[in-house]
Amino acid sequence: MPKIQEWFAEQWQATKQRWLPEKEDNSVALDQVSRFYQSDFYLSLDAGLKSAFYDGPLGGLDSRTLERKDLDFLLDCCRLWQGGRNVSCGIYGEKGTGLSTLLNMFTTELKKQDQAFKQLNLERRLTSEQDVINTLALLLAIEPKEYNLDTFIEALNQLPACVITVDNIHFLVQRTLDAQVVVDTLSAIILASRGHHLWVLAGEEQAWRRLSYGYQFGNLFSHQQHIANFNESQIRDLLIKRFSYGGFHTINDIAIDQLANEKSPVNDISKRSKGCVELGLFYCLNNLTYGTKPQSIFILSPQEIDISPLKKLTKLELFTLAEISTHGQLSIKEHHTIFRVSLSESKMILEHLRVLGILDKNEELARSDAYSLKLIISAVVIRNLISMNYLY
Amino acid sequence: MDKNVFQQFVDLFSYTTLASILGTLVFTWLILVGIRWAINTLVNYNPKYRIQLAQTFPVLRVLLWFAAISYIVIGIIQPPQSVIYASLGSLGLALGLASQDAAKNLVAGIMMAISPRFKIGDMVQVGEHYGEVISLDLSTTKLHTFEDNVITVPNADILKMPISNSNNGELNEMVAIDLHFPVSIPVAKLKSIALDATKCSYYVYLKKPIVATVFPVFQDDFYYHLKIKAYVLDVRFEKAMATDIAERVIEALHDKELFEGSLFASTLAPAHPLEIRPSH
Repeated sequence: MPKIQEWFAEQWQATKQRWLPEKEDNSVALDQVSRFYQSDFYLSLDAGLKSAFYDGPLGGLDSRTLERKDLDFLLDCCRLWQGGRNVSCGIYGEKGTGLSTLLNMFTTELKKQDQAFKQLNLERRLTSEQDVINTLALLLAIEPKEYNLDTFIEALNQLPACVITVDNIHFLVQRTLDAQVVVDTLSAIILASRGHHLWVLAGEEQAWRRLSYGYQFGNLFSHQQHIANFNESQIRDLLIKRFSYGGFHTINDIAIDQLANEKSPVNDISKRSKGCVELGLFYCLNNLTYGTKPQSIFILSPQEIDISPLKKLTKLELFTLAEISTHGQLSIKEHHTIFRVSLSESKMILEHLRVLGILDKNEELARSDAYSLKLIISAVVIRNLISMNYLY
Repeated sequence: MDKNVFQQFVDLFSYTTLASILGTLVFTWLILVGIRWAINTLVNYNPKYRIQLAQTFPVLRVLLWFAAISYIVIGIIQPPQSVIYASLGSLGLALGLASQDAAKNLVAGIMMAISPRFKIGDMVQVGEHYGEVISLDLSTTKLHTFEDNVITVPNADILKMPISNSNNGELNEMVAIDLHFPVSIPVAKLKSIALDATKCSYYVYLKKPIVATVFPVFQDDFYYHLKIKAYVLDVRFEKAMATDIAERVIEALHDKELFEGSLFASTLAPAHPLEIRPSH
């Protein structure tokens, strides 16, 4: 029976290769994804086109809150709090959804209303009750002195009422004996000062789920909102706006304002990007040529990204990816603690995943040995981990 | 069977008919091979649904063979009524006398395909054997044990025996871990460390509750019996999770310096101070 199955599998592969050769031959290797931003081709682009591929939010052009749905959610919570309601809220979404951007837009609105606010950004994992207290005291600029939980809450409640936003709550996730204490301490602080202050916490979806499943974190919030990623038409509009911003008004001989109605690779790219702007930009850049007319470009049909290396990973590597997607990032030491393997084995596993093009090493941070999922393929990796039952 | 009926029976099997029967059997078998390959491909593509997908094969196999045999009899052989009655009588007698056990297993296999007591991928206890169901054939069921043995159990025996099914079609299952500790460790600390250490294991399915209970037991001396109940993410990691949690609890207690000497040093400790067993 296995031989027959092998024979069938070989025949199937041969048939597939014969009829759909481009999928096998022209796919983009995982480790090549995102490097195009640093490629000679990108560097050779003229300034206008290069600006369309700017690797970051491009002001109002990339604003996903065109519908203002998510921003309105936060502003509504704020209005309830200002009206005397005991409110705290949490927002979560996929990596790269733009939670930080949304918080920035929210605080800009607060500024317009002359509403006092404090913007906190967690930058490292909190490890104990005292660490939570000290970190919050520092970030909230509370008079520096020795606090315990009670005295800290007292000091916090003596501050003038304000909105406190906390970003990057994935730094609360940890697989250590003190994880419960850390979450409990923060929960106690939020609950004891809720009403006086409005707490707004933001974090990646997988971290949020882990904290909710393991530590009932969701119970802290009176209001929670899942921030959805870009949909197909939003990605298409964003790409069109970016090209227009770069000074290119004709794509594949179609006027840019007609592009949404025509069958074009931009529509195909919007579909394949699965809500990830970076992936959309990557597909465009990877298939771009200048048009014959001035201020025109041609975009060829996008190539598939070859995710087969994901299917060949070992159990430990898959669990590593699952933990990284919930922790946000993992250092070699953290990996060593979670998986109880030697430091050298931890380094080997993380480096192997980096070489495959699945992880990025966060060189820009002080903790230069922290590895995180490569943003451009993080949604694909997470979907695969869920389907393989390594993540839930 | 009188001579006339026998002659009618022989006349039914011309070379063309035999070739058609053979062709139908081979065709059915090839379809089944194709279905199994397609299911395996789907399982590889989406392992989360492997139990549901794998379960479809035994049912499809019974249906396809039934359809093939019906087609051979009604569509190819087309026997007169007298031959059908005579053949059925002879077949029944032959099955009854010559292959009692095989027929029992076959009937049990068909019954299990129609009304399954467990699915492929479930962790079951059959008699003294505990393992993952890896195949549900028409006459036997195969279990893959944690000792890496494949146990073949006749289906007729399975119908007679009580079956303990740990996950019943789900990928996660509860695992109970029993550990014994000296009474010198404060109970509250023991429980709290057990819960925290369990959450540290990456095999644990945190969507479902974790419970730790401690109660004193006397056997030559008093000691604490700690029972941790947690769900494993995937039944295949059952033993790995149990071992991982046990090691983490012991390490945590050592780190917190809650052990006075070795756990196993005391001669008063029970015969099996550390016992890990799955609950089923």
